[in-house]
Amino acid sequence: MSRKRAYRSKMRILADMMRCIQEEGEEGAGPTKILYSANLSHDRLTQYLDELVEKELILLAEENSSNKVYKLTEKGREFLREFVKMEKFSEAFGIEI
Amino acid sequence: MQALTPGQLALVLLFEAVSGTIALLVSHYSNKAYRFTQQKRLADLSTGFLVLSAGMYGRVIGILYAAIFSDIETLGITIIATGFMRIMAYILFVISTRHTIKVGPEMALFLQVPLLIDLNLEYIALVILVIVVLQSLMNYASSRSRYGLYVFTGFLLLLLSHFAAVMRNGYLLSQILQLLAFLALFVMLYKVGRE
Repeated sequence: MSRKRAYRSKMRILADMMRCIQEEGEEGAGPTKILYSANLSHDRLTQYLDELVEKELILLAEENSSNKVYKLTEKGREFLREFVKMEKFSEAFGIEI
Repeated sequence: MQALTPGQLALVLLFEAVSGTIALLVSHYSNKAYRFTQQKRLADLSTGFLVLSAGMYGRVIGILYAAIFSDIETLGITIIATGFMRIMAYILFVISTRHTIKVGPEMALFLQVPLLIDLNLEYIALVILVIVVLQSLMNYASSRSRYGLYVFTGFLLLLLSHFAAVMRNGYLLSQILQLLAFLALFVMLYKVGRE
Protein backbone atom coordinates (compact mmCIF):
# COMPACT_ATOMS: atom_id res chain seq x y z
CA MET A 1 0.00 0.00 0.00
CA SER A 2 1.53 3.31 -0.97
CA ARG A 3 1.03 6.38 1.14
CA LYS A 4 0.44 9.70 -0.52
CA ARG A 5 2.81 12.30 0.86
CA ALA A 6 0.93 15.57 1.08
CA TYR A 7 3.73 17.58 2.57
CA ARG A 8 7.46 17.17 2.48
CA SER A 9 9.48 18.83 5.18
CA LYS A 10 12.44 20.93 4.17
CA MET A 11 14.68 18.34 5.81
CA ARG A 12 13.25 15.63 3.59
CA ILE A 13 13.62 17.74 0.45
CA LEU A 14 17.28 18.39 1.27
CA ALA A 15 17.78 14.68 1.96
CA ASP A 16 16.09 13.77 -1.35
CA MET A 17 18.40 16.14 -3.22
CA MET A 18 21.45 14.70 -1.48
CA ARG A 19 20.31 11.13 -2.15
CA CYS A 20 20.04 11.97 -5.83
CA ILE A 21 23.60 13.31 -5.80
CA GLN A 22 24.81 10.25 -3.89
CA GLU A 23 23.20 7.89 -6.39
CA GLU A 24 25.26 9.47 -9.15
CA GLY A 25 28.41 8.44 -7.29
CA GLU A 26 31.78 9.97 -8.08
CA GLU A 27 30.49 11.63 -11.22
CA GLY A 28 28.17 13.87 -9.28
CA ALA A 29 24.75 15.17 -10.39
CA GLY A 30 23.75 18.15 -12.46
CA PRO A 31 20.96 20.57 -11.47
CA THR A 32 18.46 19.12 -13.97
CA LYS A 33 18.90 15.63 -12.62
CA ILE A 34 18.46 16.89 -9.04
CA LEU A 35 15.45 18.99 -10.04
CA TYR A 36 13.59 16.04 -11.53
CA SER A 37 14.66 13.60 -8.88
CA ALA A 38 13.67 15.83 -5.96
CA ASN A 39 10.61 17.16 -7.79
CA LEU A 40 11.29 20.85 -7.23
CA SER A 41 10.72 24.14 -9.01
CA HIS A 42 13.78 25.82 -10.44
CA ASP A 43 13.72 28.65 -7.88
CA ARG A 44 13.48 26.27 -4.96
CA LEU A 45 16.23 24.11 -6.40
CA THR A 46 18.61 27.04 -6.67
CA GLN A 47 17.78 28.19 -3.15
CA TYR A 48 18.30 24.74 -1.62
CA LEU A 49 21.46 24.01 -3.63
CA ASP A 50 22.97 27.27 -2.39
CA GLU A 51 22.01 26.32 1.15
CA LEU A 52 23.57 22.85 0.85
CA VAL A 53 26.78 24.31 -0.57
CA GLU A 54 26.87 26.94 2.17
CA LYS A 55 26.49 24.25 4.82
CA GLU A 56 29.26 22.24 3.11
CA LEU A 57 27.01 19.24 2.61
CA ILE A 58 27.62 19.30 -1.15
CA LEU A 59 30.18 21.03 -3.30
CA LEU A 60 30.15 22.44 -6.77
CA ALA A 61 32.72 20.19 -8.43
CA GLU A 62 32.69 21.46 -11.99
CA GLU A 63 31.47 24.62 -13.45
CA ASN A 64 31.79 25.82 -16.99
CA SER A 65 29.48 27.80 -19.19
CA SER A 66 26.95 25.02 -19.64
CA ASN A 67 27.63 22.49 -16.94
CA LYS A 68 27.36 22.43 -13.18
CA VAL A 69 28.05 19.24 -11.26
CA TYR A 70 27.40 18.78 -7.56
CA LYS A 71 29.08 16.16 -5.40
CA LEU A 72 28.45 15.02 -1.88
CA THR A 73 31.01 16.00 0.76
CA GLU A 74 32.02 13.73 3.67
CA LYS A 75 29.86 15.93 5.91
CA GLY A 76 26.99 15.37 3.48
CA ARG A 77 27.48 11.60 3.56
CA GLU A 78 27.47 11.68 7.36
CA PHE A 79 24.30 13.80 7.31
CA LEU A 80 22.58 11.29 5.02
CA ARG A 81 23.61 8.34 7.22
CA GLU A 82 22.18 10.11 10.25
CA PHE A 83 19.04 11.05 8.34
CA VAL A 84 18.42 7.41 7.34
CA LYS A 85 18.67 6.36 11.03
CA MET A 86 16.25 9.07 12.12
CA GLU A 87 13.92 8.22 9.26
CA LYS A 88 13.81 4.51 10.17
CA PHE A 89 13.31 5.31 13.85
CA SER A 90 10.52 7.80 13.15
CA GLU A 91 8.74 5.55 10.69
CA ALA A 92 8.79 2.71 13.23
CA PHE A 93 6.48 4.90 15.33
CA GLY A 94 4.44 6.02 12.32
CA ILE A 95 6.00 9.46 12.21
CA GLU A 96 7.00 10.87 8.87
CA ILE A 97 9.81 13.36 8.71
CA MET B 1 -4.95 -11.88 47.54
CA GLN B 2 -1.70 -12.42 45.65
CA ALA B 3 1.43 -11.80 47.69
CA LEU B 4 4.99 -11.34 46.58
CA THR B 5 8.00 -12.66 48.41
CA PRO B 6 10.79 -10.13 49.03
CA GLY B 7 12.76 -11.89 46.30
CA GLN B 8 9.92 -11.47 43.84
CA LEU B 9 9.50 -7.85 44.84
CA ALA B 10 13.21 -7.25 44.22
CA LEU B 11 12.83 -8.86 40.81
CA VAL B 12 9.82 -6.68 40.03
CA LEU B 13 11.76 -3.56 41.00
CA LEU B 14 14.72 -4.67 38.90
CA PHE B 15 12.48 -5.24 35.89
CA GLU B 16 10.89 -1.85 36.43
CA ALA B 17 14.29 -0.15 36.67
CA VAL B 18 15.54 -1.85 33.49
CA SER B 19 12.34 -0.91 31.65
CA GLY B 20 12.67 2.67 32.90
CA THR B 21 16.25 2.83 31.63
CA ILE B 22 15.21 1.60 28.18
CA ALA B 23 12.34 4.11 28.16
CA LEU B 24 14.92 6.81 28.95
CA LEU B 25 17.09 5.66 26.04
CA VAL B 26 14.12 5.77 23.65
CA SER B 27 13.29 9.25 24.95
CA HIS B 28 16.86 10.38 24.36
CA TYR B 29 16.90 9.01 20.83
CA SER B 30 13.50 10.56 20.05
CA ASN B 31 14.78 13.90 21.30
CA LYS B 32 17.89 13.54 19.17
CA ALA B 33 15.70 12.79 16.15
CA TYR B 34 13.52 15.81 17.00
CA ARG B 35 16.53 18.14 17.13
CA PHE B 36 17.69 16.75 13.83
CA THR B 37 14.39 16.90 11.98
CA GLN B 38 12.31 19.47 13.92
CA GLN B 39 9.34 17.06 13.65
CA LYS B 40 7.17 18.02 16.64
CA ARG B 41 5.63 14.58 16.99
CA LEU B 42 9.09 13.23 17.84
CA ALA B 43 9.24 15.76 20.70
CA ASP B 44 5.86 14.44 21.96
CA LEU B 45 7.17 10.88 21.70
CA SER B 46 10.31 11.85 23.59
CA THR B 47 8.27 13.54 26.35
CA GLY B 48 6.02 10.47 26.55
CA PHE B 49 8.94 8.10 27.11
CA LEU B 50 10.55 10.55 29.53
CA VAL B 51 7.36 10.75 31.63
CA LEU B 52 7.02 6.95 31.48
CA SER B 53 10.64 6.52 32.55
CA ALA B 54 10.28 9.05 35.39
CA GLY B 55 7.14 7.21 36.53
CA MET B 56 8.98 3.89 36.55
CA TYR B 57 11.94 5.24 38.51
CA GLY B 58 9.51 7.02 40.84
CA ARG B 59 7.72 3.73 41.38
CA VAL B 60 10.96 1.90 42.19
CA ILE B 61 12.09 4.62 44.61
CA GLY B 62 8.62 5.00 46.17
CA ILE B 63 8.15 1.26 46.71
CA LEU B 64 11.66 0.89 48.11
CA TYR B 65 11.15 3.84 50.45
CA ALA B 66 7.78 2.55 51.56
CA ALA B 67 9.18 -0.96 52.09
CA ILE B 68 12.14 0.27 54.14
CA PHE B 69 10.15 2.67 56.30
CA SER B 70 6.92 0.63 56.30
CA ASP B 71 5.10 3.65 55.00
CA ILE B 72 1.80 2.59 53.46
CA GLU B 73 0.73 6.17 52.81
CA THR B 74 3.79 6.88 50.67
CA LEU B 75 3.17 3.65 48.78
CA GLY B 76 -0.39 4.71 48.02
CA ILE B 77 0.69 8.14 46.80
CA THR B 78 3.48 6.60 44.70
CA ILE B 79 1.13 4.15 42.99
CA ILE B 80 -1.46 6.83 42.20
CA ALA B 81 1.11 9.40 41.04
CA THR B 82 3.06 6.99 38.86
CA GLY B 83 -0.20 5.56 37.53
CA PHE B 84 -1.17 9.04 36.36
CA MET B 85 2.27 9.56 34.85
CA ARG B 86 1.87 6.34 32.92
CA ILE B 87 -1.49 7.47 31.59
CA MET B 88 -0.04 10.85 30.59
CA ALA B 89 2.74 9.02 28.75
CA TYR B 90 0.27 6.80 26.91
CA ILE B 91 -1.82 9.83 25.93
CA LEU B 92 1.36 11.36 24.48
CA PHE B 93 1.95 8.10 22.58
CA VAL B 94 -1.58 8.31 21.17
CA ILE B 95 -0.85 11.85 20.04
CA SER B 96 2.62 11.22 18.70
CA THR B 97 1.99 7.88 16.96
CA ARG B 98 -1.42 8.74 15.54
CA HIS B 99 -1.72 6.36 13.31
CA THR B 100 13.38 -16.52 52.42
CA ILE B 101 13.22 -13.93 54.84
CA LYS B 102 10.41 -14.10 57.23
CA VAL B 103 8.06 -11.41 56.38
CA GLY B 104 6.88 -9.21 59.21
CA PRO B 105 3.28 -8.00 59.42
CA GLU B 106 4.07 -4.51 58.10
CA MET B 107 6.15 -5.91 55.31
CA ALA B 108 3.53 -8.49 54.45
CA LEU B 109 1.05 -5.67 53.98
CA PHE B 110 3.43 -4.08 51.56
CA LEU B 111 3.86 -7.09 49.45
CA GLN B 112 0.18 -7.49 48.75
CA VAL B 113 -0.20 -6.88 45.05
CA PRO B 114 -3.42 -4.85 45.27
CA LEU B 115 -1.33 -2.20 47.00
CA LEU B 116 1.04 -2.09 44.06
CA ILE B 117 -1.59 -1.38 41.45
CA ASP B 118 -4.55 0.92 41.20
CA LEU B 119 -7.23 -0.90 39.24
CA ASN B 120 -9.00 2.25 38.03
CA LEU B 121 -5.79 3.66 36.60
CA GLU B 122 -4.95 0.29 35.09
CA TYR B 123 -8.27 0.23 33.24
CA ILE B 124 -7.75 3.76 31.92
CA ALA B 125 -4.22 2.83 30.82
CA LEU B 126 -5.64 -0.26 29.11
CA VAL B 127 -8.12 1.73 27.05
CA ILE B 128 -5.50 4.27 25.97
CA LEU B 129 -2.97 1.56 25.16
CA VAL B 130 -5.49 -0.23 22.94
CA ILE B 131 -5.52 2.92 20.79
CA VAL B 132 -1.71 3.07 20.77
CA VAL B 133 -1.48 -0.60 19.77
CA LEU B 134 -4.02 -0.18 16.98
CA GLN B 135 -2.16 2.84 15.67
CA SER B 136 1.16 1.00 15.71
CA LEU B 137 -0.49 -1.98 13.96
CA MET B 138 -1.85 0.29 11.22
CA ASN B 139 1.54 1.88 10.89
CA TYR B 140 3.22 -1.50 10.54
CA ALA B 141 0.59 -2.69 8.06
CA SER B 142 1.25 0.31 5.84
CA SER B 143 5.02 0.56 6.17
CA ARG B 144 5.92 -3.14 6.55
CA SER B 145 9.06 -1.91 8.26
CA ARG B 146 10.75 -4.37 10.63
CA TYR B 147 11.33 -1.47 12.99
CA GLY B 148 7.59 -0.81 12.92
CA LEU B 149 7.10 -4.48 13.85
CA TYR B 150 9.36 -4.03 16.90
CA VAL B 151 7.36 -0.97 17.99
CA PHE B 152 4.05 -2.80 17.48
CA THR B 153 5.40 -5.81 19.44
CA GLY B 154 6.60 -3.48 22.21
CA PHE B 155 3.26 -1.70 22.58
CA LEU B 156 1.33 -5.01 22.31
CA LEU B 157 3.42 -6.54 25.10
CA LEU B 158 2.88 -3.38 27.17
CA LEU B 159 -0.87 -3.75 26.64
CA LEU B 160 -0.70 -7.43 27.62
CA SER B 161 1.24 -6.45 30.74
CA HIS B 162 -1.67 -4.24 31.82
CA PHE B 163 -4.12 -7.08 31.13
CA ALA B 164 -1.96 -9.36 33.26
CA ALA B 165 -1.83 -6.72 36.02
CA VAL B 166 -5.60 -6.72 36.43
CA MET B 167 -5.76 -10.50 36.32
CA ARG B 168 -5.72 -12.56 39.48
CA ASN B 169 -2.13 -13.59 40.31
CA GLY B 170 -0.87 -11.85 37.23
CA TYR B 171 1.29 -9.12 38.73
CA LEU B 172 4.66 -10.82 38.30
CA LEU B 173 3.71 -11.84 34.77
CA SER B 174 2.76 -8.23 34.02
CA GLN B 175 6.22 -7.05 35.06
CA ILE B 176 7.87 -9.68 32.87
CA LEU B 177 5.71 -8.65 29.91
CA GLN B 178 6.52 -5.01 30.54
CA LEU B 179 10.23 -5.80 30.55
CA LEU B 180 9.87 -7.75 27.29
CA ALA B 181 7.99 -4.77 25.79
CA PHE B 182 10.88 -2.45 26.54
CA LEU B 183 13.41 -5.01 25.37
CA ALA B 184 11.60 -5.07 22.00
CA LEU B 185 11.98 -1.28 21.85
CA PHE B 186 15.61 -1.59 22.88
CA VAL B 187 16.30 -4.06 20.06
CA MET B 188 14.67 -1.65 17.63
CA LEU B 189 16.82 1.19 18.92
CA TYR B 190 19.96 -0.95 18.71
CA LYS B 191 19.26 -2.04 15.15
CA VAL B 192 18.44 1.49 13.99
CA GLY B 193 21.71 2.64 15.51
CA ARG B 194 23.59 0.05 13.47
CA GLU B 195 21.81 0.99 10.26
